Amino acid sequence: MRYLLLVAMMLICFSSLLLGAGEDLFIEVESEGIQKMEIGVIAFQPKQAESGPPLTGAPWTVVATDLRFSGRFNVTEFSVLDTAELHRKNIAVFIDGKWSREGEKVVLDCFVHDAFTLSQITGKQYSVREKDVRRASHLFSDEAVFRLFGEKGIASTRIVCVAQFGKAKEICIMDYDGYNLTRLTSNNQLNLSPCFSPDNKSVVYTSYRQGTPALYKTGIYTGKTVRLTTNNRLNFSPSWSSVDDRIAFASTMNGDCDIYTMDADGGAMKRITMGGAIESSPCYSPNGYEITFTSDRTGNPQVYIMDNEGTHIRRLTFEGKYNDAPTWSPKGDKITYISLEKARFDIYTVDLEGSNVKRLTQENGSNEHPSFSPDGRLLVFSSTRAGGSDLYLMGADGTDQTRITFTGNLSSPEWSGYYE
Amino acid sequence: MTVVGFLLAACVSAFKGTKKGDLLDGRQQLKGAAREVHEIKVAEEEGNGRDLRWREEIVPEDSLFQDIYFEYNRSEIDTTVLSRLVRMARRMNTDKGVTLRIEGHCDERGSQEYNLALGERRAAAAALYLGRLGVESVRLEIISFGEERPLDRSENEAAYAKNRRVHFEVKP
Repeated sequence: MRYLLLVAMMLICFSSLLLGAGEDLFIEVESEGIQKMEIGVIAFQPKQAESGPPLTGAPWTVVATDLRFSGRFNVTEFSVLDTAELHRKNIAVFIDGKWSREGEKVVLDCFVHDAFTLSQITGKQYSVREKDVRRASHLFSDEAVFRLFGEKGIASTRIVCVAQFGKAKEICIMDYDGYNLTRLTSNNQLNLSPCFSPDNKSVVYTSYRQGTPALYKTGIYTGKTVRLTTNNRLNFSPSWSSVDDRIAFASTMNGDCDIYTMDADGGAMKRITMGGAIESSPCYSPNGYEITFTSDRTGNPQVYIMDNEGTHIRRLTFEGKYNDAPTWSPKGDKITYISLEKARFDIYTVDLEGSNVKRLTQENGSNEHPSFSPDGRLLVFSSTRAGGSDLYLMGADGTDQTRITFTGNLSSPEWSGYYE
Repeated sequence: MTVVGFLLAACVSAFKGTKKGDLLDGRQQLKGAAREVHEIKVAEEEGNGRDLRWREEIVPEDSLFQDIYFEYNRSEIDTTVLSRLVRMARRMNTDKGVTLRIEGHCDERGSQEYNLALGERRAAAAALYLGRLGVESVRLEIISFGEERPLDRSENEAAYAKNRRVHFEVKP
Protein backbone atom coordinates (compact mmCIF):
# COMPACT_ATOMS: atom_id res chain seq x y z
CA MET A 1 0.00 0.00 0.00
CA ARG A 2 2.78 2.36 0.94
CA TYR A 3 4.58 1.55 -2.32
CA LEU A 4 1.41 2.21 -4.28
CA LEU A 5 1.07 5.61 -2.66
CA LEU A 6 4.70 6.37 -3.43
CA VAL A 7 4.27 5.37 -7.07
CA ALA A 8 1.09 7.44 -7.34
CA MET A 9 2.84 10.48 -5.91
CA MET A 10 5.77 10.04 -8.26
CA LEU A 11 3.36 9.78 -11.18
CA ILE A 12 1.62 13.00 -10.15
CA CYS A 13 4.95 14.80 -9.78
CA PHE A 14 6.12 13.49 -13.13
CA SER A 15 2.97 14.45 -15.02
CA SER A 16 2.90 17.91 -13.47
CA LEU A 17 6.52 18.30 -14.55
CA LEU A 18 5.52 17.37 -18.05
CA LEU A 19 2.57 19.73 -18.06
CA GLY A 20 4.75 22.43 -16.55
CA ALA A 21 7.04 22.12 -19.56
CA GLY A 22 4.10 23.11 -21.74
CA GLU A 23 4.03 19.78 -23.55
CA ASP A 24 0.86 18.93 -25.48
CA LEU A 25 -0.42 15.49 -24.60
CA PHE A 26 -2.36 13.58 -27.18
CA ILE A 27 -3.95 10.19 -26.98
CA GLU A 28 -4.75 8.34 -30.15
CA VAL A 29 -7.45 5.72 -30.04
CA GLU A 30 -7.07 3.15 -32.75
CA SER A 31 -9.78 0.67 -33.60
CA GLU A 32 -11.49 -0.73 -36.64
CA GLY A 33 -14.35 1.40 -37.91
CA ILE A 34 -13.66 4.38 -35.67
CA GLN A 35 -15.72 7.41 -36.64
CA LYS A 36 -13.92 9.91 -38.80
CA MET A 37 -13.84 13.56 -37.79
CA GLU A 38 -16.31 15.75 -39.67
CA ILE A 39 -14.51 18.76 -41.12
CA GLY A 40 -15.56 21.57 -43.43
CA VAL A 41 -13.22 23.17 -45.96
CA ILE A 42 -14.26 26.66 -47.05
CA ALA A 43 -12.97 28.09 -50.34
CA PHE A 44 -10.25 30.67 -49.56
CA GLN A 45 -11.26 34.25 -50.24
CA PRO A 46 -9.08 36.96 -51.82
CA LYS A 47 -7.81 39.33 -49.11
CA GLN A 48 -8.56 42.51 -51.06
CA ALA A 49 -11.09 43.01 -53.80
CA GLU A 50 -8.24 43.31 -56.32
CA SER A 51 -5.91 40.46 -55.44
CA GLY A 52 -5.01 40.01 -59.08
CA PRO A 53 -5.76 37.07 -61.39
CA PRO A 54 -7.32 34.00 -59.74
CA LEU A 55 -4.91 31.39 -58.31
CA THR A 56 -3.87 28.64 -60.76
CA GLY A 57 -4.18 25.91 -58.15
CA ALA A 58 -6.95 26.21 -55.57
CA PRO A 59 -5.10 25.52 -52.29
CA TRP A 60 -8.32 24.67 -50.42
CA THR A 61 -9.12 21.77 -52.79
CA VAL A 62 -5.56 20.49 -52.26
CA VAL A 63 -6.14 20.64 -48.50
CA ALA A 64 -9.53 18.89 -48.85
CA THR A 65 -7.94 16.07 -50.91
CA ASP A 66 -5.08 15.73 -48.40
CA LEU A 67 -7.50 15.45 -45.51
CA ARG A 68 -9.47 12.75 -47.37
CA PHE A 69 -6.26 10.80 -48.17
CA SER A 70 -5.22 11.03 -44.51
CA GLY A 71 -8.07 8.66 -43.67
CA ARG A 72 -9.01 10.66 -40.57
CA PHE A 73 -11.74 12.98 -41.86
CA ASN A 74 -15.09 13.18 -43.58
CA VAL A 75 -14.56 16.29 -45.66
CA THR A 76 -17.34 18.60 -46.85
CA GLU A 77 -16.40 21.48 -49.13
CA PHE A 78 -18.18 24.83 -49.04
CA SER A 79 -17.83 27.85 -51.29
CA VAL A 80 -18.68 30.31 -48.47
CA LEU A 81 -18.74 30.11 -44.68
CA ASP A 82 -22.22 29.38 -43.31
CA THR A 83 -21.97 28.38 -39.64
CA ALA A 84 -25.65 27.42 -39.43
CA GLU A 85 -25.11 24.92 -42.26
CA LEU A 86 -21.99 23.60 -40.49
CA HIS A 87 -23.99 23.08 -37.29
CA ARG A 88 -26.80 21.33 -39.19
CA LYS A 89 -24.24 18.90 -40.63
CA ASN A 90 -22.62 18.32 -37.22
CA ILE A 91 -19.34 19.75 -38.41
CA ALA A 92 -17.36 20.98 -35.41
CA VAL A 93 -14.18 22.10 -37.16
CA PHE A 94 -13.59 23.97 -40.38
CA ILE A 95 -10.67 25.22 -42.44
CA ASP A 96 -10.75 28.60 -44.13
CA GLY A 97 -8.27 31.12 -45.41
CA LYS A 98 -7.39 34.16 -47.41
CA TRP A 99 -5.03 34.67 -50.33
CA SER A 100 -3.34 37.67 -51.85
CA ARG A 101 -0.40 38.56 -54.08
CA GLU A 102 2.71 40.42 -53.02
CA GLY A 103 4.89 40.95 -56.06
CA GLU A 104 5.90 37.52 -57.40
CA LYS A 105 4.72 35.77 -54.24
CA VAL A 106 1.35 34.39 -53.29
CA VAL A 107 0.50 34.88 -49.62
CA LEU A 108 -1.80 32.31 -48.02
CA ASP A 109 -3.35 32.82 -44.56
CA CYS A 110 -4.74 29.43 -43.50
CA PHE A 111 -6.78 28.65 -40.39
CA VAL A 112 -8.41 25.80 -38.55
CA HIS A 113 -11.46 27.11 -36.63
CA ASP A 114 -13.84 25.65 -34.07
CA ALA A 115 -17.27 25.91 -35.73
CA PHE A 116 -19.15 26.56 -32.46
CA THR A 117 -16.93 29.03 -30.60
CA LEU A 118 -15.31 30.29 -33.86
CA SER A 119 -12.03 30.31 -31.94
CA GLN A 120 -8.86 29.62 -33.86
CA ILE A 121 -7.26 26.19 -33.39
CA THR A 122 -4.26 27.03 -35.54
CA GLY A 123 -3.24 29.52 -38.18
CA LYS A 124 -0.29 29.68 -40.60
CA GLN A 125 0.89 32.15 -43.21
CA TYR A 126 2.79 30.96 -46.27
CA SER A 127 4.48 33.30 -48.74
CA VAL A 128 5.39 31.22 -51.78
CA ARG A 129 5.91 31.34 -55.54
CA GLU A 130 2.70 30.55 -57.39
CA LYS A 131 4.02 27.13 -58.47
CA ASP A 132 4.65 26.22 -54.81
CA VAL A 133 1.05 26.83 -53.72
CA ARG A 134 0.44 23.05 -53.70
CA ARG A 135 3.46 22.55 -51.43
CA ALA A 136 2.21 25.20 -48.99
CA SER A 137 -1.23 23.57 -49.02
CA HIS A 138 0.31 20.17 -48.19
CA LEU A 139 2.26 21.73 -45.32
CA PHE A 140 -0.93 23.27 -43.93
CA SER A 141 -2.79 19.93 -44.24
CA ASP A 142 -0.06 18.36 -42.08
CA GLU A 143 -0.35 21.25 -39.61
CA ALA A 144 -4.11 20.64 -39.33
CA VAL A 145 -3.61 16.88 -38.81
CA PHE A 146 -0.97 17.57 -36.16
CA ARG A 147 -3.12 20.10 -34.29
CA LEU A 148 -6.23 17.89 -34.36
CA PHE A 149 -4.67 14.44 -33.89
CA GLY A 150 -1.19 15.03 -32.49
CA GLU A 151 0.45 12.96 -35.22
CA LYS A 152 2.57 13.98 -38.17
CA GLY A 153 0.72 14.06 -41.46
CA ILE A 154 1.93 12.62 -44.75
CA ALA A 155 0.70 15.36 -47.11
CA SER A 156 4.22 16.81 -47.40
CA THR A 157 5.87 13.44 -48.16
CA ARG A 158 7.07 12.29 -51.58
CA ILE A 159 7.28 9.13 -53.62
CA VAL A 160 10.22 7.99 -55.75
CA CYS A 161 9.44 5.73 -58.72
CA VAL A 162 10.63 4.48 -62.11
CA ALA A 163 9.29 6.00 -65.33
CA GLN A 164 9.67 4.30 -68.69
CA PHE A 165 10.61 6.40 -71.72
CA GLY A 166 10.97 4.12 -74.76
CA LYS A 167 13.64 1.57 -73.89
CA ALA A 168 15.01 3.69 -71.06
CA LYS A 169 13.78 3.80 -67.49
CA GLU A 170 14.52 6.87 -65.37
CA ILE A 171 14.20 7.53 -61.64
CA CYS A 172 11.51 10.12 -60.88
CA ILE A 173 10.28 11.81 -57.74
CA MET A 174 6.82 13.23 -57.12
CA ASP A 175 4.49 14.49 -54.40
CA TYR A 176 2.60 11.75 -52.54
CA ASP A 177 -0.58 12.64 -54.47
CA GLY A 178 1.03 12.12 -57.91
CA TYR A 179 1.67 15.78 -58.74
CA ASN A 180 5.00 17.41 -59.69
CA LEU A 181 6.60 14.37 -61.33
CA THR A 182 10.28 15.31 -61.72
CA ARG A 183 13.11 13.36 -63.34
CA LEU A 184 16.05 12.61 -61.08
CA THR A 185 18.11 10.77 -63.73
CA SER A 186 18.27 11.35 -67.46
CA ASN A 187 20.98 9.04 -68.79
CA ASN A 188 18.74 7.20 -71.28
CA GLN A 189 19.66 3.82 -69.76
CA LEU A 190 17.93 1.42 -67.40
CA ASN A 191 17.55 2.85 -63.88
CA LEU A 192 15.69 0.60 -61.43
CA SER A 193 14.59 -0.10 -57.82
CA PRO A 194 15.02 3.33 -56.16
CA CYS A 195 14.91 3.89 -52.39
CA PHE A 196 15.10 7.05 -50.27
CA SER A 197 17.84 7.80 -47.78
CA PRO A 198 16.46 8.15 -44.22
CA ASP A 199 16.82 11.97 -44.47
CA ASN A 200 14.89 12.02 -47.81
CA LYS A 201 17.77 13.97 -49.35
CA SER A 202 19.15 11.30 -51.67
CA VAL A 203 18.00 8.25 -53.59
CA VAL A 204 19.88 4.97 -54.04
CA TYR A 205 19.08 2.92 -57.14
CA THR A 206 20.40 0.47 -59.71
CA SER A 207 21.64 1.96 -62.97
CA TYR A 208 23.09 0.48 -66.16
CA ARG A 209 24.61 3.87 -67.03
CA GLN A 210 28.17 2.47 -67.10
CA GLY A 211 27.21 -0.80 -68.77
CA THR A 212 26.65 -3.12 -65.84
CA PRO A 213 23.93 -2.82 -63.18
CA ALA A 214 25.59 -1.06 -60.21
CA LEU A 215 24.20 0.91 -57.26
CA TYR A 216 24.36 4.70 -57.41
CA LYS A 217 23.39 7.46 -55.02
CA THR A 218 22.01 10.76 -56.32
CA GLY A 219 21.40 13.83 -54.17
CA ILE A 220 17.88 15.12 -54.82
CA TYR A 221 18.80 18.76 -54.21
CA THR A 222 22.42 18.66 -55.41
CA GLY A 223 22.01 16.33 -58.40
CA LYS A 224 25.40 14.86 -57.44
CA THR A 225 25.72 11.16 -58.33
CA VAL A 226 28.14 8.71 -56.70
CA ARG A 227 28.72 5.07 -57.68
CA LEU A 228 28.52 2.85 -54.57
CA THR A 229 29.35 -0.67 -55.84
CA THR A 230 32.48 -1.30 -57.90
CA ASN A 231 31.95 -4.88 -59.12
CA ASN A 232 30.71 -5.48 -62.69
CA ARG A 233 27.96 -7.93 -61.80
CA LEU A 234 24.34 -7.37 -60.75
CA ASN A 235 23.60 -5.09 -57.74
CA PHE A 236 20.02 -4.16 -56.97
CA SER A 237 17.08 -3.60 -54.56
CA PRO A 238 18.70 -1.36 -51.93
CA SER A 239 17.15 -0.67 -48.51
CA TRP A 240 18.63 2.04 -46.29
CA SER A 241 18.51 1.58 -42.52
CA SER A 242 17.77 4.77 -40.60
CA VAL A 243 19.27 3.28 -37.44
CA ASP A 244 22.88 2.46 -38.35
CA ASP A 245 22.97 4.14 -41.78
CA ARG A 246 23.77 0.92 -43.65
CA ILE A 247 22.41 -0.10 -47.03
CA ALA A 248 21.27 -3.68 -47.59
CA PHE A 249 21.11 -4.87 -51.20
CA ALA A 250 21.21 -7.97 -53.38
CA SER A 251 24.25 -8.75 -55.50
CA THR A 252 25.75 -11.54 -57.58
CA MET A 253 29.32 -10.29 -57.02
CA ASN A 254 30.37 -13.69 -55.66
CA GLY A 255 28.38 -15.81 -58.13
CA ASP A 256 25.02 -16.51 -56.54
CA CYS A 257 22.54 -13.79 -55.75
CA ASP A 258 22.98 -12.99 -52.06
CA ILE A 259 22.26 -10.14 -49.66
CA TYR A 260 25.02 -7.77 -48.61
CA THR A 261 25.17 -4.71 -46.39
CA MET A 262 27.49 -1.72 -46.74
CA ASP A 263 27.98 1.77 -45.36
CA ALA A 264 26.14 4.62 -47.06
CA ASP A 265 29.33 5.49 -48.99
CA GLY A 266 29.84 1.93 -50.26
CA GLY A 267 32.48 0.97 -47.67
CA ALA A 268 32.62 -1.87 -45.09
CA MET A 269 30.80 -4.33 -47.34
CA LYS A 270 29.61 -7.51 -45.69
CA ARG A 271 27.92 -10.60 -47.13
CA ILE A 272 25.08 -11.78 -44.88
CA THR A 273 23.44 -14.68 -46.77
CA MET A 274 25.17 -17.77 -48.14
CA GLY A 275 24.23 -20.69 -50.32
CA GLY A 276 23.22 -21.32 -53.91
CA ALA A 277 19.65 -19.99 -53.82
CA ILE A 278 18.56 -16.53 -55.00
CA GLU A 279 18.31 -14.18 -52.01
CA SER A 280 17.01 -10.73 -52.95
CA SER A 281 14.73 -7.78 -52.14
CA PRO A 282 16.00 -7.01 -48.62
CA CYS A 283 14.10 -4.46 -46.52
CA TYR A 284 15.15 -3.31 -43.04
CA SER A 285 12.72 -3.41 -40.13
CA PRO A 286 12.00 0.07 -38.69
CA ASN A 287 14.29 -0.64 -35.71
CA GLY A 288 17.09 -1.81 -38.03
CA TYR A 289 17.59 -5.14 -36.22
CA GLU A 290 15.96 -7.37 -38.80
CA ILE A 291 15.71 -7.73 -42.57
CA THR A 292 12.86 -9.23 -44.54
CA PHE A 293 13.86 -10.70 -47.91
CA THR A 294 12.95 -13.13 -50.68
CA SER A 295 14.63 -16.51 -51.12
CA ASP A 296 13.96 -19.39 -53.50
CA ARG A 297 15.80 -21.94 -51.33
CA THR A 298 12.70 -24.15 -51.32
CA GLY A 299 12.40 -24.07 -55.11
CA ASN A 300 10.23 -21.00 -55.48
CA PRO A 301 10.47 -17.46 -54.11
CA GLN A 302 9.08 -16.98 -50.59
CA VAL A 303 9.38 -14.24 -47.97
CA TYR A 304 11.73 -14.71 -45.01
CA ILE A 305 12.97 -12.69 -42.02
CA MET A 306 16.49 -12.72 -40.58
CA ASP A 307 18.42 -10.47 -38.25
CA ASN A 308 20.73 -7.87 -39.78
CA GLU A 309 23.76 -10.18 -39.40
CA GLY A 310 22.12 -12.86 -41.52
CA THR A 311 21.30 -15.29 -38.70
CA HIS A 312 17.98 -16.49 -37.23
CA ILE A 313 16.38 -17.00 -40.63
CA ARG A 314 12.69 -17.91 -40.53
CA ARG A 315 10.15 -18.34 -43.29
CA LEU A 316 7.17 -15.99 -43.23
CA THR A 317 4.95 -16.96 -46.19
CA PHE A 318 3.61 -20.45 -46.85
CA GLU A 319 0.64 -19.70 -49.08
CA GLY A 320 1.20 -19.22 -52.81
CA LYS A 321 4.01 -20.41 -55.04
CA TYR A 322 5.65 -17.06 -55.81
CA ASN A 323 5.92 -14.34 -53.16
CA ASP A 324 8.27 -11.37 -53.43
CA ALA A 325 8.88 -7.66 -52.78
CA PRO A 326 8.42 -7.66 -48.97
CA THR A 327 8.35 -4.29 -47.20
CA TRP A 328 8.07 -3.58 -43.50
CA SER A 329 5.34 -1.34 -42.08
CA PRO A 330 6.68 1.76 -40.23
CA LYS A 331 5.29 0.47 -36.92
CA GLY A 332 7.03 -2.84 -37.56
CA ASP A 333 3.91 -4.91 -36.92
CA LYS A 334 3.33 -6.28 -40.41
CA ILE A 335 4.92 -6.91 -43.77
CA THR A 336 3.38 -6.30 -47.16
CA TYR A 337 4.38 -8.42 -50.17
CA ILE A 338 3.16 -9.52 -53.59
CA SER A 339 1.98 -12.95 -54.62
CA LEU A 340 1.75 -14.31 -58.16
CA GLU A 341 -1.37 -16.05 -59.35
CA LYS A 342 -2.28 -16.67 -63.00
CA ALA A 343 0.55 -14.43 -64.29
CA ARG A 344 -0.67 -11.48 -62.18
CA PHE A 345 0.48 -10.14 -58.84
CA ASP A 346 -1.70 -9.13 -55.93
CA ILE A 347 -0.79 -7.34 -52.72
CA TYR A 348 -1.01 -9.00 -49.31
CA THR A 349 -0.11 -8.16 -45.72
CA VAL A 350 0.99 -10.63 -43.06
CA ASP A 351 1.96 -10.19 -39.42
CA LEU A 352 5.40 -11.15 -38.13
CA GLU A 353 4.27 -14.59 -36.98
CA GLY A 354 3.25 -15.41 -40.54
CA SER A 355 -0.43 -15.41 -39.58
CA ASN A 356 -3.26 -13.02 -40.43
CA VAL A 357 -2.62 -13.09 -44.18
CA LYS A 358 -4.82 -10.42 -45.80
CA ARG A 359 -5.33 -9.95 -49.52
CA LEU A 360 -5.62 -6.26 -50.43
CA THR A 361 -6.08 -6.35 -54.23
CA GLN A 362 -8.11 -8.70 -56.35
CA GLU A 363 -8.89 -9.35 -60.03
CA ASN A 364 -7.73 -5.92 -61.11
CA GLY A 365 -4.62 -6.11 -63.30
CA SER A 366 -1.20 -6.88 -61.89
CA ASN A 367 -0.52 -5.05 -58.63
CA GLU A 368 3.10 -4.72 -57.59
CA HIS A 369 5.67 -3.11 -55.37
CA PRO A 370 3.66 -1.91 -52.34
CA SER A 371 5.28 0.63 -50.02
CA PHE A 372 3.88 2.05 -46.77
CA SER A 373 3.35 5.75 -46.05
CA PRO A 374 5.47 6.87 -43.07
CA ASP A 375 2.40 6.82 -40.79
CA GLY A 376 1.57 3.27 -41.91
CA ARG A 377 -2.00 4.21 -42.86
CA LEU A 378 -1.61 4.09 -46.65
CA LEU A 379 0.14 2.00 -49.28
CA VAL A 380 1.35 3.15 -52.69
CA PHE A 381 1.61 0.49 -55.40
CA SER A 382 1.74 0.11 -59.16
CA SER A 383 -1.10 -1.50 -61.05
CA THR A 384 -1.85 -2.37 -64.67
CA ARG A 385 -5.62 -2.33 -64.07
CA ALA A 386 -6.10 0.61 -66.44
CA GLY A 387 -3.80 -0.67 -69.19
CA GLY A 388 -0.36 0.87 -68.66
CA SER A 389 1.41 0.77 -65.33
CA ASP A 390 0.28 3.59 -63.03
CA LEU A 391 0.53 4.37 -59.33
CA TYR A 392 -2.34 4.01 -56.85
CA LEU A 393 -2.89 4.71 -53.17
CA MET A 394 -4.99 2.61 -50.82
CA GLY A 395 -5.61 2.25 -47.11
CA ALA A 396 -3.32 -0.25 -45.39
CA ASP A 397 -6.37 -2.53 -45.22
CA GLY A 398 -7.00 -2.31 -48.99
CA THR A 399 -9.82 0.26 -48.85
CA ASP A 400 -10.23 3.36 -51.06
CA GLN A 401 -7.96 2.36 -53.95
CA THR A 402 -7.29 5.64 -55.77
CA ARG A 403 -5.36 6.21 -58.97
CA ILE A 404 -2.84 9.06 -58.60
CA THR A 405 -0.95 9.01 -61.93
CA PHE A 406 -2.23 8.88 -65.48
CA THR A 407 0.84 8.56 -67.71
CA GLY A 408 0.85 4.75 -67.92
CA ASN A 409 4.64 4.40 -67.58
CA LEU A 410 5.31 4.41 -63.81
CA SER A 411 6.39 1.53 -61.57
CA SER A 412 8.42 0.59 -58.45
CA PRO A 413 7.13 3.32 -56.08
CA GLU A 414 8.81 3.84 -52.71
CA TRP A 415 7.42 6.22 -50.12
CA SER A 416 9.74 8.71 -48.40
CA GLY A 417 9.91 9.23 -44.65
CA TYR A 418 8.40 12.29 -42.96
CA TYR A 419 9.65 15.69 -44.08
CA GLU A 420 10.63 17.75 -41.04
CA MET B 1 -3.90 -51.61 -60.44
CA THR B 2 -6.87 -51.88 -62.76
CA VAL B 3 -5.85 -55.44 -63.49
CA VAL B 4 -5.92 -56.23 -59.77
CA GLY B 5 -9.27 -54.53 -59.42
CA PHE B 6 -10.70 -56.46 -62.34
CA LEU B 7 -9.47 -59.80 -61.06
CA LEU B 8 -10.72 -59.00 -57.56
CA ALA B 9 -14.15 -58.19 -58.88
CA ALA B 10 -14.14 -61.47 -60.81
CA CYS B 11 -13.10 -63.31 -57.68
CA VAL B 12 -15.82 -61.71 -55.57
CA SER B 13 -18.54 -62.68 -58.05
CA ALA B 14 -17.12 -66.23 -58.29
CA PHE B 15 -17.37 -66.66 -54.52
CA LYS B 16 -20.85 -65.17 -54.18
CA GLY B 17 -23.00 -67.24 -51.89
CA THR B 18 -20.15 -68.78 -49.92
CA LYS B 19 -19.46 -68.08 -46.27
CA LYS B 20 -17.56 -65.01 -45.13
CA GLY B 21 -14.46 -66.97 -44.07
CA ASP B 22 -14.25 -68.74 -47.42
CA LEU B 23 -14.55 -65.50 -49.30
CA LEU B 24 -11.59 -64.07 -47.41
CA ASP B 25 -9.43 -67.12 -48.12
CA GLY B 26 -10.33 -67.03 -51.80
CA ARG B 27 -9.51 -63.33 -52.04
CA GLN B 28 -6.12 -63.90 -50.46
CA GLN B 29 -5.31 -66.72 -52.88
CA LEU B 30 -6.39 -64.81 -55.92
CA LYS B 31 -4.69 -61.65 -54.72
CA GLY B 32 -1.40 -63.48 -54.97
CA ALA B 33 -2.17 -64.71 -58.46
CA ALA B 34 -3.39 -61.31 -59.56
CA ARG B 35 -0.22 -59.66 -58.39
CA GLU B 36 1.87 -62.00 -60.51
CA VAL B 37 -0.25 -61.36 -63.59
CA HIS B 38 -0.04 -57.63 -62.94
CA GLU B 39 3.72 -57.70 -62.62
CA ILE B 40 4.13 -59.60 -65.84
CA LYS B 41 1.99 -57.04 -67.60
CA VAL B 42 3.93 -54.09 -66.16
CA ALA B 43 7.21 -55.70 -67.13
CA GLU B 44 5.97 -56.13 -70.70
CA GLU B 45 4.81 -52.52 -70.90
CA GLU B 46 8.07 -51.19 -69.53
CA GLY B 47 10.04 -53.53 -71.74
CA ASN B 48 8.50 -51.89 -74.79
CA GLY B 49 10.00 -48.57 -73.72
CA ARG B 50 9.30 -45.21 -75.26
CA ASP B 51 11.26 -44.07 -78.26
CA LEU B 52 13.71 -41.38 -77.29
CA ARG B 53 15.34 -39.55 -80.11
CA TRP B 54 18.27 -37.25 -79.52
CA ARG B 55 16.57 -34.04 -80.65
CA GLU B 56 19.72 -32.21 -81.45
CA GLU B 57 19.17 -28.83 -82.99
CA ILE B 58 20.88 -28.23 -86.29
CA VAL B 59 22.51 -24.84 -86.32
CA PRO B 60 24.63 -23.55 -89.17
CA GLU B 61 28.02 -22.16 -88.25
CA ASP B 62 27.09 -18.51 -88.91
CA SER B 63 24.21 -18.53 -86.41
CA LEU B 64 26.10 -20.45 -83.77
CA PHE B 65 25.60 -17.63 -81.25
CA GLN B 66 21.84 -17.34 -81.60
CA ASP B 67 19.69 -17.17 -78.42
CA ILE B 68 19.06 -20.16 -76.20
CA TYR B 69 15.72 -20.55 -74.43
CA PHE B 70 14.59 -21.65 -70.96
CA GLU B 71 11.62 -23.13 -69.15
CA TYR B 72 9.47 -20.81 -67.00
CA ASN B 73 11.28 -19.85 -63.78
CA ARG B 74 14.18 -22.24 -64.57
CA SER B 75 17.80 -21.61 -65.44
CA GLU B 76 18.92 -25.11 -66.52
CA ILE B 77 20.41 -25.32 -70.03
CA ASP B 78 18.37 -27.57 -72.29
CA THR B 79 20.26 -30.71 -73.36
CA THR B 80 19.49 -29.98 -77.00
CA VAL B 81 21.75 -26.94 -77.05
CA LEU B 82 24.71 -28.51 -75.26
CA SER B 83 26.43 -29.50 -78.48
CA ARG B 84 26.06 -25.94 -79.72
CA LEU B 85 27.73 -24.67 -76.56
CA VAL B 86 30.60 -27.08 -77.29
CA ARG B 87 30.92 -25.59 -80.79
CA MET B 88 30.69 -22.06 -79.36
CA ALA B 89 33.46 -22.87 -76.90
CA ARG B 90 35.59 -24.29 -79.72
CA ARG B 91 35.09 -21.10 -81.72
CA MET B 92 35.96 -18.98 -78.68
CA ASN B 93 39.06 -21.06 -78.04
CA THR B 94 40.35 -20.69 -81.61
CA ASP B 95 39.52 -17.00 -81.96
CA LYS B 96 41.22 -15.67 -78.84
CA GLY B 97 40.73 -12.03 -79.82
CA VAL B 98 37.00 -11.87 -79.07
CA THR B 99 35.02 -11.66 -75.85
CA LEU B 100 31.48 -12.86 -75.37
CA ARG B 101 28.74 -10.84 -73.71
CA ILE B 102 26.08 -13.16 -72.26
CA GLU B 103 22.75 -11.46 -71.55
CA GLY B 104 20.10 -13.17 -69.38
CA HIS B 105 16.44 -12.29 -69.98
CA CYS B 106 13.11 -13.32 -68.44
CA ASP B 107 9.45 -13.21 -69.36
CA GLU B 108 7.22 -10.70 -67.59
CA ARG B 109 5.53 -13.28 -65.38
CA GLY B 110 7.59 -12.61 -62.30
CA SER B 111 8.56 -9.74 -60.11
CA GLN B 112 11.02 -7.24 -61.52
CA GLU B 113 13.62 -7.86 -58.83
CA TYR B 114 13.48 -11.64 -58.75
CA ASN B 115 13.67 -11.66 -62.54
CA LEU B 116 16.88 -9.64 -62.44
CA ALA B 117 18.42 -12.40 -60.33
CA LEU B 118 16.90 -15.13 -62.51
CA GLY B 119 18.23 -13.55 -65.72
CA GLU B 120 21.67 -13.39 -64.14
CA ARG B 121 21.39 -17.05 -63.16
CA ARG B 122 20.54 -18.00 -66.76
CA ALA B 123 23.50 -16.06 -68.14
CA ALA B 124 25.73 -17.57 -65.45
CA ALA B 125 24.55 -21.10 -66.37
CA ALA B 126 25.64 -20.55 -69.99
CA ALA B 127 28.92 -18.98 -68.84
CA LEU B 128 29.57 -21.93 -66.53
CA TYR B 129 29.32 -24.40 -69.44
CA LEU B 130 31.57 -22.32 -71.66
CA GLY B 131 34.03 -21.94 -68.79
CA ARG B 132 34.14 -25.70 -68.22
CA LEU B 133 34.85 -26.08 -71.93
CA GLY B 134 37.97 -23.99 -71.59
CA VAL B 135 36.87 -20.41 -72.30
CA GLU B 136 38.65 -18.02 -69.93
CA SER B 137 36.18 -16.36 -67.54
CA VAL B 138 37.64 -12.90 -68.25
CA ARG B 139 36.39 -13.25 -71.82
CA LEU B 140 32.85 -13.99 -70.65
CA GLU B 141 30.85 -10.93 -69.64
CA ILE B 142 27.62 -11.70 -67.77
CA ILE B 143 24.75 -9.21 -67.58
CA SER B 144 21.10 -9.56 -66.61
CA PHE B 145 18.26 -7.46 -67.97
CA GLY B 146 15.54 -9.31 -66.04
CA GLU B 147 12.21 -8.58 -67.70
CA GLU B 148 13.30 -5.16 -69.00
CA ARG B 149 14.12 -6.09 -72.61
CA PRO B 150 11.39 -8.41 -73.93
CA LEU B 151 11.55 -9.42 -77.60
CA ASP B 152 7.80 -9.74 -77.78
CA ARG B 153 5.51 -7.68 -75.54
CA SER B 154 2.32 -9.68 -76.15
CA GLU B 155 0.84 -11.65 -73.27
CA ASN B 156 0.84 -15.25 -74.46
CA GLU B 157 2.90 -18.39 -73.96
CA ALA B 158 4.65 -18.06 -77.35
CA ALA B 159 5.82 -14.54 -76.50
CA TYR B 160 6.86 -15.54 -72.97
CA ALA B 161 8.88 -18.46 -74.39
CA LYS B 162 10.64 -16.12 -76.80
CA ASN B 163 11.53 -13.73 -73.96
CA ARG B 164 13.00 -16.37 -71.62
CA ARG B 165 16.38 -16.39 -73.28
CA VAL B 166 20.10 -15.95 -73.08
CA HIS B 167 21.42 -13.68 -75.80
CA PHE B 168 25.05 -13.83 -76.96
CA GLU B 169 26.99 -10.95 -78.36
CA VAL B 170 30.47 -11.54 -79.75
CA LYS B 171 32.60 -8.47 -79.14
CA PRO B 172 35.91 -8.01 -80.95
